[in-house]
Amino acid sequence: MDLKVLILGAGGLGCEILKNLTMMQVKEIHIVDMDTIELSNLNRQFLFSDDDIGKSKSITAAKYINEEHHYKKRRGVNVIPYHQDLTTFPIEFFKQFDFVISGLDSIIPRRFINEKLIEITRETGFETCIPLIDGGTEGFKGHVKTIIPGITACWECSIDTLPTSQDTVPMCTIANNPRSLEHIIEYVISKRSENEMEEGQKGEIEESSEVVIDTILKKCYERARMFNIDTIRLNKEYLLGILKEIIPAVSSTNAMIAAACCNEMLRIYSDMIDLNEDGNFTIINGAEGCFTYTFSYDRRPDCLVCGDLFQ
Amino acid sequence: MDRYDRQLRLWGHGGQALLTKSTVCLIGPNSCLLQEIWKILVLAGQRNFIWVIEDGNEIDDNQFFYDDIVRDLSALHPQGIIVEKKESLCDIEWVKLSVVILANSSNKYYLETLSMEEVKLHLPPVFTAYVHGMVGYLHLSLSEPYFVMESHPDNVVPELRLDKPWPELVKYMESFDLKSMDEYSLAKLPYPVILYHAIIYIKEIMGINPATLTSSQFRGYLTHYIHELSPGNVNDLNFIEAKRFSYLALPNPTLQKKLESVIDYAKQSYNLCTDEYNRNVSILLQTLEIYLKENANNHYPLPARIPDMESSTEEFNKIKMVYEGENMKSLDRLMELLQENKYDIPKSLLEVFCDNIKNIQYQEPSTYSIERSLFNTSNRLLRDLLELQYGSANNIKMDEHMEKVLSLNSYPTSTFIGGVVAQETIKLITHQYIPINNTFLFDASKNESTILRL
Repeated sequence: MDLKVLILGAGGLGCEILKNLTMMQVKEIHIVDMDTIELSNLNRQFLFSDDDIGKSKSITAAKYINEEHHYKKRRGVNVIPYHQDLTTFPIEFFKQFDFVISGLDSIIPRRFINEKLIEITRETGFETCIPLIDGGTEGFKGHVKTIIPGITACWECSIDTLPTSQDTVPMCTIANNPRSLEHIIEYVISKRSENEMEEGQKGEIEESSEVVIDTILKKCYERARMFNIDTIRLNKEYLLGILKEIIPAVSSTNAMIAAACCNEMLRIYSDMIDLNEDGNFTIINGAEGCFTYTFSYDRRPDCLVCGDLFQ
Repeated sequence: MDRYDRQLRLWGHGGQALLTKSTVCLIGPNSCLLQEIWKILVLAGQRNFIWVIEDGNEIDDNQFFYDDIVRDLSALHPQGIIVEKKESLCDIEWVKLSVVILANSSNKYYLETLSMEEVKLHLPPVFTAYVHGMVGYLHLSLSEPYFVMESHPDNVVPELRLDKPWPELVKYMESFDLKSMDEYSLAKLPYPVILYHAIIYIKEIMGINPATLTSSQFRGYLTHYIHELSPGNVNDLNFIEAKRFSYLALPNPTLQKKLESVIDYAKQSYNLCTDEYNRNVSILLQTLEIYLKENANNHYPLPARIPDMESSTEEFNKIKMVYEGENMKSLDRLMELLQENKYDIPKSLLEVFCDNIKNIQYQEPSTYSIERSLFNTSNRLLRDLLELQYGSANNIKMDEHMEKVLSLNSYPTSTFIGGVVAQETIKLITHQYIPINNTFLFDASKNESTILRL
């Protein structure tokens, strides 16, 4: 396929998307990711091996396809990696692509790319409309959103569909009436942030700092004992789950969502999609049988990002 | 952190151990679909495989992602994978396998063999999957009843049993005299205490039997009760929770009925169970029946944990203990009953059972053989796919759309179906989450899936 495609994220979805695009013989694939490889990635990020731990995800993934993949020459696929924060790219960079497929795990870069692609449509007076296909997973569930800037609902139009942040526990419970290990851990972390004058961001505590984790764990045990809370489930994995807000992930769901993203590209490319009639939002749930549901998410005329393109 | 950390959060160490020791038999030629299924199973931690290699329709090697499938997949498992390659089904010991997967197999002999009565009896769950162009299907055939305890429902409904309290719960609840408590103390109460006392109020002061009320009627009376008790507490979180969960104060007869039907099924199907897990769940359900008969209130065991609720640490710990105590009593009695009947069931399994009484699900074995189930279908797409798989493309009514669908790049579709097959395999082996029932059709050109029960 004579296409230039940008993949956002070289994680669980990114590896799958990259593999599929390689097998679809997409001529030029660019891939952006600023993360490095960790052991807990290896249950699904199959372009990496144990020896790659600590290396750049995007560069290692590109190397796998460009060099180790034995059919590279015959396929004529070229992968160009960027070990870089997506939000640092200038708008000019994005103009070269025919499609952008995202397999990101956070909201900020998604909003960023959505905004940039819509800006391109606006700037060029609908001359250039780069489709954005956005995949996401959580455990056995996932979604695919297809965004044709200025034509179908943009990422921002459907921002209300994001799950509202998990049941937040009031601070007074955490401080005065802790009842569960979660409450204990939240308290220890917030105390730690106060003491060290850090931002209260949980994600900032790096996995590498073993000593820090051990200290936190010790404090959690102490506090749990103080409040007579059962510590049978308390261990490093449990602590890290809350500390890093870990979302469960499995390669099967990644494979399905990535495949659905690539099929969306194929449908648009092969003119097999009716942008007015067909749905632009698909959800998949594999926890009970395998359920897929596609529907049309309408544009919001008052959308702050694409509303002015509404005709 | 563990290599499998992210998936352990889905099925735990128990599920992972079952995966590690499982053996999967793959039947079919080297194909994109086979590679995709296999890759996911290895990534999930499975390492024992039998591969019955079917001569493929000469597909260009260039179409495969993995050059040497066994070597390349071995690199994805920390201990490498063990593959026994076979050229026929002759000497396969079916009972030792966890799952059998036919992937893009077009040799009808395999399908016929697996459909034979004498083979069928010993078969583990069998998947048949096929992809062509942008369309594909998978079918699951079960030769025996299949049970799941940990079905992981999205919404967990707490179990309080306020309609039929046991003596310890009554004692705990009656230790509070809400009328004499100040606002400050009332704000510390766990909401089940408020609900319990609302029930008493409705029964004794208003003279109404709460069991006859609908949940919205009950909520109305509850609101009234709270206002009368202490208007100053109306906006406290525990009182808000009491209203939100007010339906838990009422009996739930559907639950009881559902459990009875599961027990009935376990009784009548026990002789069909050969798989250790299925047998154990069936035994547990039958033991539960004895347990239910001997307690007059027909109380089934409660899970060990109650969910978090607004209250002081002290009060929460107290109410938690009351429910835990009831759970322990049930566990002990069930263990005694199991031992009396000389059943050797691990305590850990019994605990999972008690925690999931409401979540237990079963799937009945397939009525017909795989061959008959598939070929009797009236579904147009499935018939076309079977024709492509086992017959010839000439027998299909081609229109422009179908021609295009079949000619387009099928790699993502193979990945999709491969993902579903592998995911269902993992669910079956871990006995967690609810498996597909029983046929999944996928048309990627329309981004459309259909579930059929064949």
